[in-house]
Amino acid sequence: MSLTDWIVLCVTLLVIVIYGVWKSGSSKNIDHYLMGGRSLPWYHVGLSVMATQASAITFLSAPGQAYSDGMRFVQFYLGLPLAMIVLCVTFVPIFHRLKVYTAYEFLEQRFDLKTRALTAFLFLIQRGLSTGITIYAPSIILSTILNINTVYTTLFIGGLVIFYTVYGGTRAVSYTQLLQMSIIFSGMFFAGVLVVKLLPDGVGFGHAVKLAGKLGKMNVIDWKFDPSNRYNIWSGVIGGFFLQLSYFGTDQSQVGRYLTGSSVGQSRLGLIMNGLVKVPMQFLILLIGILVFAFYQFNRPPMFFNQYEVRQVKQSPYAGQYNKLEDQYTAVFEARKNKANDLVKAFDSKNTVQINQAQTALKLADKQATDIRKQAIGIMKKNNAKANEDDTNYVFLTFVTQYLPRGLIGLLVAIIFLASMGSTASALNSLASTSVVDIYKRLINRTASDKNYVTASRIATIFWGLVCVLMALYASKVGNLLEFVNKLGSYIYGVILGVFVVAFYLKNIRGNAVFIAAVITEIVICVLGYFEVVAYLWLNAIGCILVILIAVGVNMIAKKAFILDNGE
Amino acid sequence: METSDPELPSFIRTWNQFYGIVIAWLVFLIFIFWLITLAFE
Repeated sequence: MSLTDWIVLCVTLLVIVIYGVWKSGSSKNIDHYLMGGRSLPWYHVGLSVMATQASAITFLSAPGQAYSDGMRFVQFYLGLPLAMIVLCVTFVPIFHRLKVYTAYEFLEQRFDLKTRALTAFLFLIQRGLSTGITIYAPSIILSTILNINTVYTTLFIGGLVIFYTVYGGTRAVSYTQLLQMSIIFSGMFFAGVLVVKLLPDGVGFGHAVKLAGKLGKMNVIDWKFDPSNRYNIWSGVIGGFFLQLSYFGTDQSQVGRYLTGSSVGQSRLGLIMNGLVKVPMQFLILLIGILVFAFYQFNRPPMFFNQYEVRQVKQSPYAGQYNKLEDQYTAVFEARKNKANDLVKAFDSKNTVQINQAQTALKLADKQATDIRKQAIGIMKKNNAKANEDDTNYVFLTFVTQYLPRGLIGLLVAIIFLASMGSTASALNSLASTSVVDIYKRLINRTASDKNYVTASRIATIFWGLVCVLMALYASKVGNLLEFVNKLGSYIYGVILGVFVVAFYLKNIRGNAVFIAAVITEIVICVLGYFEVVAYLWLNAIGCILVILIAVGVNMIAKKAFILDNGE
Repeated sequence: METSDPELPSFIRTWNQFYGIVIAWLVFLIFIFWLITLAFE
């Protein structure tokens, strides 16, 4: 990165943190510190909810995902608008009416203390572990691209977030997220425009999309029902609905965001805004990946985008073999480029036969390039069995740092930092809320002053911040931790959602029945997940339904036993 | 029947109407995405 980019990066980050701290004001009571005084308007709520969900990986990974796998990933979000409606109808009015700080607080009012403690505990484990990864994942990518040690990028992101989250509480989180999302939207828009501008003369937006389509990348909707297929319309709408409902309805990092709304209406409007905007936003981010794919049909892409792994193999005895493959890849790329140009000419001629012929030739050239890449990955694995063979996360940033103009590179790197900070800040705030409200205030010190609770919240934020930074630093030492933590959400969310669905809709079921159901279901889900019986998205739906069924069953058995005991 | 809420945008009368718009928007998006899939196959 040039000096200009470093200046843009540092100024952007500093301005946002200063703005957040300045707007947050001083917090004298716990309601102000954890809930922002429940005074924020709908657009704050909406952007905050979006910023919390959109981690750095969203902006790094999604274009890379489209580059390698096409547009089908957008189906993952199709259940989200429906989940927003259920939240607006059921969760939001109840949480607002009871004036709860955390979602789990409601469960004690409905069931009992042990159900509240169980769900709060599951949340703390899941969110505490996954937030470390939220910091770690972009850190490792940024450190590879910027040639900085992962420890520095992790400490930088973690330190900055801990500072403003501890200082300003939830208002600082919301105000920084408002500015973060504005910068993220603008940056991604400019990146999209510039990719089109960087295409060769005579190749426009339409050509690029058509070309990607002819290579199977415009596979937006897949109607085929296949439970083992991660992304089709059914897993997206049904599985995605359960996943999004459990995430937004029961994960305190999201509940804490929309409870900052000044009224039921403002919280609802914020969530509906998310429901309307999220799917098209993801579509556009993926489309940037498609344009990058088209761009690399005319400009030689790296054979493998993760340069750390490339350096490892080039310093090994396999360097000769790898370099030979690089030469072959260059030759195949030139052939593929010619075929891509032929296809663009065929598009202009509008001759179907010519288009089909050019498409077949391009597909063949693309397959040759893919085969060489596979061989290169094989060599990497031979050299180091633990080498990361997935370079999806590196595609977009490689393009950004190599082809975008000065200044914009700094801005796009800032976006990655900002996205990571936004979701981390919400997570720390929610971990602090749950620790203080559900554990400290409920079980340890019930009659302390507001000042005491604010101090406890600040200490809890620092504590969880340090845990997450340590997790992020430790993650680099444990290869499979990332995968484990990513799946953990699906293991836990469905069960918690089931508990909430019973709480809202099955009024006659008592605390013991739902507690037993949650424990049994959690064990079953762990077994199903461990043996990979179904794709992980389905675990949410299965978890939720099992909790409901078992709770109903246990309740019926308990009722019968009660009747028999009483001789009726 | 749900009464009109002053917090709603002026062109929408009830929350249920708003939820209907969200569902219609989702159906519209799926339809457009399907057309895109067919058009660029």
